[in-house]
Amino acid sequence: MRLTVPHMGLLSTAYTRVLRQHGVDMQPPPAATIKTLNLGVKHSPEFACLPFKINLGNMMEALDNGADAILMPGGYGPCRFGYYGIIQEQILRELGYQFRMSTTDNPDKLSDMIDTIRDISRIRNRFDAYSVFFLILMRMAALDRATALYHYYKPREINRGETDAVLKEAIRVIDLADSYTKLFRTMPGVKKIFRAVAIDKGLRPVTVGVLGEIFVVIEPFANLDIEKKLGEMRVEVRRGVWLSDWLNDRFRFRPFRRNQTAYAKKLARGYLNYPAGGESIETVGKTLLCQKKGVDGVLHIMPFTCMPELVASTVINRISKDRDYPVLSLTFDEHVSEANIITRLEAFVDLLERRRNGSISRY
Amino acid sequence: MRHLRIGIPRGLLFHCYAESWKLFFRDLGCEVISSPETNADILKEGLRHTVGDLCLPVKTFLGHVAVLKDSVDFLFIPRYISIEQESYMCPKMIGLPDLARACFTHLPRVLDPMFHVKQFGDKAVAEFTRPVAQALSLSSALTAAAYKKNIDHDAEVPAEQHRLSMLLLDKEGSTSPATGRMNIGVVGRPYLLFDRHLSKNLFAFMRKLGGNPVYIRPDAAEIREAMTVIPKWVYWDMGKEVVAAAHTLFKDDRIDGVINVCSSTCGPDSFTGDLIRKRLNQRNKPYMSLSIDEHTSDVGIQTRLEAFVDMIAKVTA
Repeated sequence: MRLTVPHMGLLSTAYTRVLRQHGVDMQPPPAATIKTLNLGVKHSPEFACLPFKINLGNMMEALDNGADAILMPGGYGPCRFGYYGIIQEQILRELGYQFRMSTTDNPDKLSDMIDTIRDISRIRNRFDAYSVFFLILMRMAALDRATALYHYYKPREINRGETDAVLKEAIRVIDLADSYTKLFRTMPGVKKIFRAVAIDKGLRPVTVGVLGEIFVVIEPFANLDIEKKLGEMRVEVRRGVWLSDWLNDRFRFRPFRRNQTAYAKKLARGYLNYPAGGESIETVGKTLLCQKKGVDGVLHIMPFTCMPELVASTVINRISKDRDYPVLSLTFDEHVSEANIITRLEAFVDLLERRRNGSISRY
Repeated sequence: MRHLRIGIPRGLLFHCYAESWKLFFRDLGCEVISSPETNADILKEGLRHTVGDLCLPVKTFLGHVAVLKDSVDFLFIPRYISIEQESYMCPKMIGLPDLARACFTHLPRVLDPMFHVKQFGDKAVAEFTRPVAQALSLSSALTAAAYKKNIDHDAEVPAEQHRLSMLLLDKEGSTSPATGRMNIGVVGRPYLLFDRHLSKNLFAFMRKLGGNPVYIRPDAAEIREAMTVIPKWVYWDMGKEVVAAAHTLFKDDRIDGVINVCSSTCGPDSFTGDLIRKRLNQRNKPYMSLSIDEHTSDVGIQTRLEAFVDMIAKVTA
């Protein structure tokens, strides 16, 4: 059984090596390209959201490369994500693919995840499964830590592209750390290589909070590498949604990190009084947090027809008007053009810079 | 003392629960005002205040809010999250009161009680009535009693709601299959189908073409049966009903064809439409999916209906 799981940001880096060591024959899909997207778009329902289409393309490419089993997380709403696996399986079967499909229907329940690990790997002992699962979570947190460092160093770098190479190296060394001990020993080294990047220490870059639907935020292919683009415009990204936070809210593997969903819910009160699924509550709560903390503006990104984020986008527009705070909502789908995104980002960053210099007073 | 005036926008769940809501508030001694049927001006008002990607029914709903907001003391925009253990409402409906507050600056007080069976279980009714009682300064026991008397969301007793949807259809119309006529099953969300302006008077036009539109509201048994045919329980309340209705209509020998009416950016329907087309149409009956948005023209819909009716005539002949 060659198992494949669709990509979601750096998640596959976190689990592939660990699971392989425990006898899972992993076949991660090739990194998404325009071909992946075209495959997905061709066979998806017209108004399915972008993550669905990219995931479907991932699955098709992995099956073409020899995988014969797919693991797709599920769930029970209200967002469409929980139903992805069913529709995707139906489409793939119709196309004539032969494979085994398994869905974990409660991806936020620890026991379900442990059972899944025992199901796909050689591990039989429940304790070992826990240990492996938490190692994967810790590796994810480490990868996110490296990405956060990247956000800090990228706008300040003196030699263009140096930070990108460092991030790549950081991901490589974290990937090699396949036990708790190695992981703890690796992290200081990761910080060190970032500190070696030549930076302009005097620069006070414009800061932008990047919020929105989690897949589009963390998957550079889906958002046209927007964080790198912002970095190149000398903008410091303050990302508000992290995969490790999402996991931590459910599995509490970092006991001293605050539950971000609960925190956002508290912050959002008055604007969004009940989470409307997906990351809507994080988007609203953290927009308010960004404003409070003096982040210069918020960039809200979401897939076209995303139901929860549409609610959030309407609400943060109101916040923007009420509090005179710059907010830009960008929608991503297969038709989005890079030039369009760059132009709008440049205009937005210009606006933030001028506001900071005091040359315009109101947004 | 003047009665408190409660405004209920004529959109979304209004088309399912309006009668019970009205009775509920009248029992509490309030005057109920609902907005007029959707027309071009209301829709325009809704479009003016919303972002582009929202779906048509939500935009229309906000248009109704705009019409009502200056003439009432309270706006009743309930937050329906789950009306039973196994399903959710669509995220836009979960965020509806917040959407309304975000779109308009000067709203009267919004009455947004939460209905969430999945979280509160048996206490859902108490959770729903408590904020209403507080806002209207009534005793919570009285409010709960009025609720029990008038509101019943259970799928087991759809008679009231069914009657309601027939009323909203053309008065003389039958909604059951008739022999000797072309019976066309229509599935879709009540708030789109029974809003004549949004559905472009679909039912009347179908009759004009000699078809007999059949709309059903599946009962609990039919829903359970439909869910055994598809691999996973559909966890959106209305999506589930659409799927079950389609299943029942496809099975029924008297039905000659099925039309699925959805709004074009509807999230759940983009998936349930795929399920209906691929899984449920086992007898290969004529099937058409009509998606509607604010740019849809009457003529466009009519041409497609004519073509569909012609096709059925050819298939059955």
